[in-house]
Amino acid sequence: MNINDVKNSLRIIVENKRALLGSIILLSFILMALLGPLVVPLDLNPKFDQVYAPPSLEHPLGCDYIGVDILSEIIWGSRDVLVIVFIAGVITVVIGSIVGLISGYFGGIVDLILNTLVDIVLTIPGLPLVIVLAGLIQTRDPISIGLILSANSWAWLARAIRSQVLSIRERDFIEASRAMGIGKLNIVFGDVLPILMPYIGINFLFAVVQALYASVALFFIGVLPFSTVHWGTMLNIAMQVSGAIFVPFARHYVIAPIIFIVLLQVGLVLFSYGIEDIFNPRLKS
Amino acid sequence: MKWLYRRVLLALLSVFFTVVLTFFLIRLMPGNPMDVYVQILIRSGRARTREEAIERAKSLMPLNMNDPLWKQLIDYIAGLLRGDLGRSISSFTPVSEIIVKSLPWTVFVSSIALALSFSIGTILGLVLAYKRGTVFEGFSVTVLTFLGAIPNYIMALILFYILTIVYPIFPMRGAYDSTIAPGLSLDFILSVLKHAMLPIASYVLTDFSGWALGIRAMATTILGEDYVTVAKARGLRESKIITNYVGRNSILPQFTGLILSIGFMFGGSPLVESIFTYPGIGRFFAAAVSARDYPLLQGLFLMLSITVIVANLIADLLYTQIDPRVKVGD
Amino acid sequence: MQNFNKTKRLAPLFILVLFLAPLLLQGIIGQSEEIRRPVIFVYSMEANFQPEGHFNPYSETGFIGHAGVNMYDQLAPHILGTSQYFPELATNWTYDGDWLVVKLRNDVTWHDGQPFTSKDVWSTFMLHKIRGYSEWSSNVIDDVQIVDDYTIKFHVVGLKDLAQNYILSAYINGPYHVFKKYVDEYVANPENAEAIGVELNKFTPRTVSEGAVGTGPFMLENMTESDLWLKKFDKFYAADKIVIDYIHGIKEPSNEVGWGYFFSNTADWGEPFSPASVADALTAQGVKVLYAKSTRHDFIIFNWKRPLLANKLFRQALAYSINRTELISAINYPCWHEEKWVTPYSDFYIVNWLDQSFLDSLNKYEYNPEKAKAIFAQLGLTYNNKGQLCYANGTVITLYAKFPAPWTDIALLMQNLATQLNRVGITVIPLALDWATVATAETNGDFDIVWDAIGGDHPFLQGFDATAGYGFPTYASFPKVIEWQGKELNLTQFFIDWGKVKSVEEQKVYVRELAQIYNDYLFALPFADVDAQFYGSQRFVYPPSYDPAWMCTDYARGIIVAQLFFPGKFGLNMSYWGIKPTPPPTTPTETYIIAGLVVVVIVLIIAIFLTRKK
Repeated sequence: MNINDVKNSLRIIVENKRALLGSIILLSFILMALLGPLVVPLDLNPKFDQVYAPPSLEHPLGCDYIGVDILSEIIWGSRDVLVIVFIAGVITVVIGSIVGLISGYFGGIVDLILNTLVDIVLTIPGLPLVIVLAGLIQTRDPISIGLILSANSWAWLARAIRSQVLSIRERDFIEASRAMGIGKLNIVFGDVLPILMPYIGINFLFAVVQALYASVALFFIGVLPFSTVHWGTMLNIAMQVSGAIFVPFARHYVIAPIIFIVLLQVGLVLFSYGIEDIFNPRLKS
Repeated sequence: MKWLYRRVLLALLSVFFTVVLTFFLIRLMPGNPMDVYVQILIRSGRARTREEAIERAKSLMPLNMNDPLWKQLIDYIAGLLRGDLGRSISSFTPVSEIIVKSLPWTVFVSSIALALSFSIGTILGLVLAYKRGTVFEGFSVTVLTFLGAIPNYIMALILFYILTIVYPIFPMRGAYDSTIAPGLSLDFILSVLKHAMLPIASYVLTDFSGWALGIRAMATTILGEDYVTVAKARGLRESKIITNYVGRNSILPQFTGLILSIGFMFGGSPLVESIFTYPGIGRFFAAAVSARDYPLLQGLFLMLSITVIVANLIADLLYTQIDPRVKVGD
Repeated sequence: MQNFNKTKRLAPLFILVLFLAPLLLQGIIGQSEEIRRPVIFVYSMEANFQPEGHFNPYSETGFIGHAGVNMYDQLAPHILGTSQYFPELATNWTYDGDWLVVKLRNDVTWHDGQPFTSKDVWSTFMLHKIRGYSEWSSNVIDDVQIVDDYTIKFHVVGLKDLAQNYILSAYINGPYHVFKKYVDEYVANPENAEAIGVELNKFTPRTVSEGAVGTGPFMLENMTESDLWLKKFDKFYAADKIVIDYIHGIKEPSNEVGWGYFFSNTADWGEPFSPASVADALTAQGVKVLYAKSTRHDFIIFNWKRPLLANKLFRQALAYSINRTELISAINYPCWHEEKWVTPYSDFYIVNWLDQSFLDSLNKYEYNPEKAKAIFAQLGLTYNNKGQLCYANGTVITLYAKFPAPWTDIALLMQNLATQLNRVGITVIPLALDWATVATAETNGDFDIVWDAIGGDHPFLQGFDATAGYGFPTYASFPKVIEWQGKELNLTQFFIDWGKVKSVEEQKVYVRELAQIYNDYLFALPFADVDAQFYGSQRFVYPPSYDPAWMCTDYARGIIVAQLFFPGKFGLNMSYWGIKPTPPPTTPTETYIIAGLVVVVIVLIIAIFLTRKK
């Protein structure tokens, strides 16, 4: 990887309109998380005359159950939310890919050990594991929470990648590389990995979204401190307190976090087009 | 065949290891079933004093509750070998009975849902890879992404709202109409099918996009391979390329994913089952964790780990059959 | 070929006739009278995740809930707000020294046909004893003896107010012929109580013949995982007053699902928790949202074992720092009302037991943050440069408020509490934990602030629960001996003395004194009264009335449904209750015949059109 590779990648992304859109969306989210709280004030004091106020110029997304502006809650919540899910997604993908690649390619005793490990992690029940880890680690820090969230999910990806590596490693050009004497690790990360990049890319976004919804459940367990600005908490309060879809006047309180979650996923998918193009230039037809 | 025996032995060891690990894991969680039940009794007004609540709660606890942990573990494993999974603390019913009664419903719904999601998703995904670059593909991917982003319990709520309340087409609750006696009558079977449709739809509508996008990504990768370029150069129609080369090559990881999903299928979704008051096993998971019902939790996780580990084993076996190039183990 | 074409054309005609034939037949055969469809009352009931459930009230796993009040009778239900009891299975009760002698009805049958006698009441109380119910374990009564087939007496050794309440409100749901085995075994070997208790957990009758029987107006018909069917018991002693034929209980696994039943008019009764404005919108749909007074009283509990919280002045300062109006509004449910006078009693009792001038003499702890800050200064607490309240040595004061996460209303409460206390510089961290963790934390005294609520059939019971700690888990370890008006006051003795008093006027003295003690000591901070909120369909219209016979006890649950049948049981005027189930519309015979003729004519026209030659 050198500066030319990076420049090339950027160029490919810019040229692919969809990937460009995706990157813009993702960048906006990141900017919102970093700068938003500095720009938009958060006033958590209840204003009971504004309860469930519908969207208006002053409150673009309306107000929640105590009259607090929903948009400001979303912006302030995005920081924690994004850090947690991105960390969780990255860890899941990195650990999962590495374990899958190595276990699939190296085979033998390495495969045996890693495979058994993956099996065990796959079957350890996620919920109690998370509760116990949360109790042991005792933290409110988003990075640690992201770590806890990915404790289980990397195993699935490892399994899936392992099975693909098993078939890829028998391919001709890989055989050729082996015959040329290129080292195993070099082959794994230089030849095999790029083939799997689109698959990994798609799985990254699934991992992110899964972590997002898992954090909703975690609020109930107590891993996540109660905070009305966390999107997961907003979703839960909206469903339980105002009855979500049943009650017309409070629907915007439910829809707001869902829209942002969906936007995040759309951004990631579009961005993944760019990833495909970067790793598979032969696809451009 | 030696590697097969090794794999099976490993699978058994994995199960055993998971059982032991789970045993300690759930007891490490803060809280215990006694405190939970006492609180329920007091909060609901069924017990008037704490003394009364404690007395009554004791009768639900397993007899070896206060023994040292290692002894409890040995008792449990000895019980397992006899086929005795213990009694659930919350309902005092034998755990095996609970599993036997509820598991069929979950498997019924989940298997149909999985089959539908997989087939619809895979076919759709291949079609999308074929139509790469068209407006249709772009539009579909957006819609699929949107669908995949909706959690299955919100989809369940939406279906519940639209299809049972606003337009009362489907039944609201239960596995079958409570006025029909269970049996092999046509009435009963139709009723069962009708009641299963919305839960199945909740899973399918949110899952199939995952399969579609996954295989589309795999297919896209393969489309860039040399042998595909060669095939195109030779003049092969793209639809044939898709089915013969791309289809066959990308189906393998999809298939593995399918087998793994089967393993997890036995868990069900607590929220979806709860929304439709469907008597499956999913609703027991969350409730058992919440009540710290140790025997029930152990039984549920044992069942789940067996199915997942067995599914993995089968996936490995099938993989060697389907793809002759692959040699599992050295 | 020709024939085939003709058949093809005639085929739709035949199919049409086949579909319409039943309609024609019905018109021809006719309906000579209106068919009376059964009256089914549907209510939304609390769901638990257990397998389909069963009807052994003495198994710790059979949470029968609302169905119980329809299937079983009490000796004499307590009328809220008064010292009166309504005769049900008991016709008469008097004290003979220390013995409460109760006379029973002689015309009652169990659902399986067995006659009801005093042996069944005795067996019920024996089952209570095996289970350790409070009247036995708290030494309120120590003996039950049968006098004759319809008379039974109880030996009261504890507080008379409590005893009468326990005894008369008991549901007689342990018939001798069903529980014989367990009761006889206990009488023979009382030391085996625990083992018998475990055996009782295994007894799970699911049909009338298996032993799921009561004496109430409705009997068990069918039960599945999601539904419960009760049918009117024809031999009920006041069966002619019951107009409902079936009760259909549908399990409500969550609020959202329950609202679904609500919005679709599936259920005639249920307990939603929806914000106020919904009620208006929904009256148009044929459903009313109603409120009924309940005695539930909510508290913020401080952990006395923590040094700062053990200080009365600090607790008072906290009370001044909290605006109770804002707390209630944060929850935003119309059935929550603010506590005005800071006593352990719900407003319900205050109206009947305390007068206005006395109430005005109490400290209302009106929101006054300046006063709070003055007290902090008095206690030697200071503010650091971030505005946080600290001990003299500079440590920031941090309090943890624990609550069960699934209870969203309590979550909102704690969040607002934290926000409010933040304004006076106290750092409060709300922790949403799962049930089990909270339960254990409360038991072990591992918290600073929690929430709790108590009910109570009588101000004595409410005061007792709020002070002696029975209603609240004993972790709170409220002191049993306090300094009051210059002397030492033993609270346990206080309640014993109160319990001996009979006349209402004498009781009022104790009620007042406890109110004053609580108001000053603030064992916990009472902040709200919560009423029962439920919905009822227009098919069964309920008058929103505070008539005593309408009142609900404690947690205002299935009792409401029982009240519906009070008039049925006791011969009150049914129309007073507005119970006029609307008869289903029936189509008279003539309409069927005319419809049939019209259809035949149309079919003939179509047939002619189809078969004409082109």
